[in-house]
Formats: sequence, structure tokens, C-alpha cells
Amino acid sequence: MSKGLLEKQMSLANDVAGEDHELWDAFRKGSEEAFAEITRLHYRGLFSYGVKFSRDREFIKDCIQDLFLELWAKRESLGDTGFIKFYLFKSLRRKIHREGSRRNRIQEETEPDWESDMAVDESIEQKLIVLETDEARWQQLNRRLELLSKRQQEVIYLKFFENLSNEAIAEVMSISRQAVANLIYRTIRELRERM
Amino acid sequence: MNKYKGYVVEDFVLDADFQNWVRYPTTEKDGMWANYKTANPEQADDIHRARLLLGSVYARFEADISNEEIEGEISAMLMKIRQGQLEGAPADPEHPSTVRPFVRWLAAASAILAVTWLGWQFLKDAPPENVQDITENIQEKMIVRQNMTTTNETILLDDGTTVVLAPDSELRMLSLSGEGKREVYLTGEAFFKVRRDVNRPFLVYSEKLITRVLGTSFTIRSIKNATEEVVEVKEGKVSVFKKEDFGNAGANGESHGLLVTSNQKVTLEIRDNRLVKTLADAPEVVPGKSAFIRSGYVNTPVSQVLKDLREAYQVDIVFDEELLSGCPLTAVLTNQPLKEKLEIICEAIEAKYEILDGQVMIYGKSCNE
Repeated sequence: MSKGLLEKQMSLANDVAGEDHELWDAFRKGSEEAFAEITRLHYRGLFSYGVKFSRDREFIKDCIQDLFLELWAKRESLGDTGFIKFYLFKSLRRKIHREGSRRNRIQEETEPDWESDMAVDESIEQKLIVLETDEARWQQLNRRLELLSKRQQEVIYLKFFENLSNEAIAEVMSISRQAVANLIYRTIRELRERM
Repeated sequence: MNKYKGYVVEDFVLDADFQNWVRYPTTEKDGMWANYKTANPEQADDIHRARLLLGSVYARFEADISNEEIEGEISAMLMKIRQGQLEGAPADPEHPSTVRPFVRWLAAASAILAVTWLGWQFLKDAPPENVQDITENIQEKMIVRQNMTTTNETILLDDGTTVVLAPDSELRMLSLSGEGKREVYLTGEAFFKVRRDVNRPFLVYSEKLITRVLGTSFTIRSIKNATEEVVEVKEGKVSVFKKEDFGNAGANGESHGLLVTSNQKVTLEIRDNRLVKTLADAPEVVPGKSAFIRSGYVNTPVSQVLKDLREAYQVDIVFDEELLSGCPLTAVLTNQPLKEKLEIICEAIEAKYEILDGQVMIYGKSCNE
């Protein structure tokens, strides 16, 4: 772990407060059960995050598989407090980009591309029904969500789905903590104006 | 919930507990927040807006992946881990002399590790080490997978199909990879989530039945010496045949198979060799369809509620639309089993229901009189 990262440990500590240290210890000692449990805890979140960069589900599943197998391979050298969640998201993002450019599935770019034009699929349309009393507001919100920049979408994903701290999001996206705070503030304001 | 004093939309949407409520609502959490709103009416609108905002983000960004698919991925990873450990196990014969003392030391260390590992297992009172028995007979290449444990075991087949094998059950097959047939032989009980492949139907041979699918999920119970064999479908469609009928179309080209759809089950009664189609014992909302059931119904026409249930469970619910459209229903129908939901509805509108041939029939009277 680089020095810069070590310095951030204190501020990242709140992200692991809820994590099960016993589970993490068992994982480091080589428990397959713990491996399965940790994977289970994070899979859905990582997958949902990953498919925003590539619609190829199988490709994202491959990346996640590599990620966890790598984590397993170096389990003995991992620290005793896992900054696991933030580490996983950051690594997945990097991996998707690297593998993607290698397999030529993603255009060569300096940044992985958050696909902002995700089509609203059938199941999402159905979820809208849940709150039909607010249908007008809901539709406006959805239109606004489509218009958010890629970075805004990624920030609110990490914030609303994963509740990562601003420090952790800054690490994952390689931008400053202040930039994250500004983005979140601006995004929420833009969304609530539409209601 | 004192920490929420003075919170506005921006604060609520960033709060972990609030997010948790919107994303995974429960009746308990709903009640808690309803109470909070009553006690703090000045914040009610902010809470409402925050909920709407988060809800729209969740609906938009949540990816569609089922628990079975995730379990399939996890078992694939575990398999790779085990394979890796087998490959890494033998000492390297290339460099025997220099490495040997180290290897010996390593062997001693791993013995200690193994002992502590066992100790830890017992302390945790965990079930004994997974005794999944993979026998591979090289001559016939028949792959046998048995579950000798006391819990369900998830297995990933070569073709990407996931199987949850019940205790004391066994699955035999030739390799499913490549272009060949997909055929498996089941003794006992298993849940299948079949990887879709229109060119290679997936066939499950059980004691007396053959189940044919393209890609779907279902359970088969075929216990030795039992009085019945059961195929229960969770999602999609399968065809079930008696072994003697399979492949023999009738005189007019009509197949003897029985088509079974979501939340239906077909039972072969061994004694009189008869196939009977009914509703699954505990019908479940079909994956991806849960949003059809609204969080609460307020004076909604019963006919609409029944249509929502029909969509969510993909079960035929037969009723007289004209008759029931005038019957209003106020109820929360998110958490009960289907049969309980039907009971609540029928009680409210003084109707009766009956399950007939895999369908639900509602007998009621008009509410307009």
C-alpha cells in the first residue's frame, strides 16, 4: 500500500466500521466459507457498478471473478483491517478499464466510460408503478437522471448504493475529496429542483 | 431517531439508515418512519421527497442479477480455488536439494495450520468439511456429483447451468460442454437454473419423468420409492413427459408432454401413473416482477389488484372483470404468501377462491348493489 493510501486510512476507517472483522480474519486464514460470504456480500453492488461501464454482463462477471481470485491469492499478505469495500470498487474500476481496452470492448480512453445512456428496461418501468401517485415527479426525476454527467452518475451510485465516504469515493474515482463533495452537493440540488 | 431533527432532503438522502429503508423497506421500518412523520409533520414533505429521489436512483441503477446467478458465480470461483490448490500442492521436483529444508519447514507449518484450522471449525460449530464427492470415471466420462452433506449444495455445470442439489441426492451426466446433448440424470431433489441455449435443450431424466427445457428455473423431486414424482417451475416454461411417452408424438402429431409454467407444479402419481398439474405449494413472485405488487392499495378496484398478482406470480387468476371492477380494496399485500393474499382479498369482497388445474378461480358477487 502506498504512503498516500496509508495516510488515508484514518479517514476511511468509517467505511469498515460495519464490516465483520471475524469474517475477514477467517478469510485471511483461508476459509472457503468466509470467501463465499465476503463475495456474496459485495457481488450485487460490484456487478451493478460494473455494468455501468460495459453492458457485456459476462465480461463484468469475468472481471469480478478475477478480482476475488486475486484477493484470495494474496489473502495472507492482506492487512488485518480490510478496507475491503473501497478496495474492491477501486480495483474493479481499474480492472474493467484495463481488461476492456485489452479486449477492445471499451474504447481506448484515459477514463473508463460510464455509459450514461442505459436504456430503462422493463423491470425498471415496473418499479415506477410502485410510486405512481408521484408519477409526474418521478418522470421528471428520471429525465433529469439521464441528463446527469457520467461523473455525477457514478458519484451518486457510490454514495446512494454503497454509502462510501467522500474520501473513499475520491480514492475510487481518482479525484479530490473536495471535488466529490461538490459533485454530490450539486447533483442532489439538481435532482431536487425537479420535484 | 433524534439525530434527524432539522434534517432536510439533502441530509436524508445521504443517511445510511434512510437509504436502507428506501432500498429494502420492511413493515417495521415503514411503521417507524410513519411515526416519525406524524411526530414531526414539518419534515414530512422532505422525507417524502428524499424517498422519491432515492427511489428513482435505485430503480434506475440497480442491475438485474438473480441470487441464483450470484451463487453460480461463487461456486465457479470456489471450484477454481480448489483446482488451484490441487495444482499447487506437489513439491517442485526441479529444484529438490536447495528447496527441501524449506519445504520440510513449510510442511510442518502447514500441519500446524491444518490443526488450528480444524480447531477453528469445531469452535465455530460449523458443519463438517464439505464432503461433496466428485467421482470422475475416465473410461465412461460419466460425471457423478453427490451431496452427502446435510445442507443444500450449489453446483455449476459445464454449460453454465446452476444446480442446487438437496442432501442425499445425486446427479450424473456426461460432459455438458461443447456442442453435444445436455442430459442429466437425477436421483433425489434438485433446483435447476438452466443456462439458455435454444439449440441444445436441457433434459433431466428422473425416475419416471423426463423434463425438457430451453432456459428457466425449476425443482424436481424424484425420491427413490416415493409415491410421487414432482416438477415445480419457478420461472419460465418446461415440458414434462412420462418416460414411455417421450419422443412418441400422438397420431395427430400432438405431443404427450405437459406444459408447466411459472409457479405451477406437475405431479406424477406413481400408483395410477397419472400426471396432475396444480399450483406450486408456495408460489413465489417471479424474479424481476415484484414491482407489479404496489406497496399499498387504497380503494383500488379488486380487478386491478388481481391483475397485479397475475403479473407478479405469472399465474392465471380467473375472475369476472365486470363483476369485480366495482369492488374497492384497501390492503397491504407485499409480504404474505400468495394464498394468504387471496384470502385477504376474498374476505374483503366476500368472495371465495379455488385452485383448479394450476389456475386460481375467484367466485364473487358484484359490489355495486
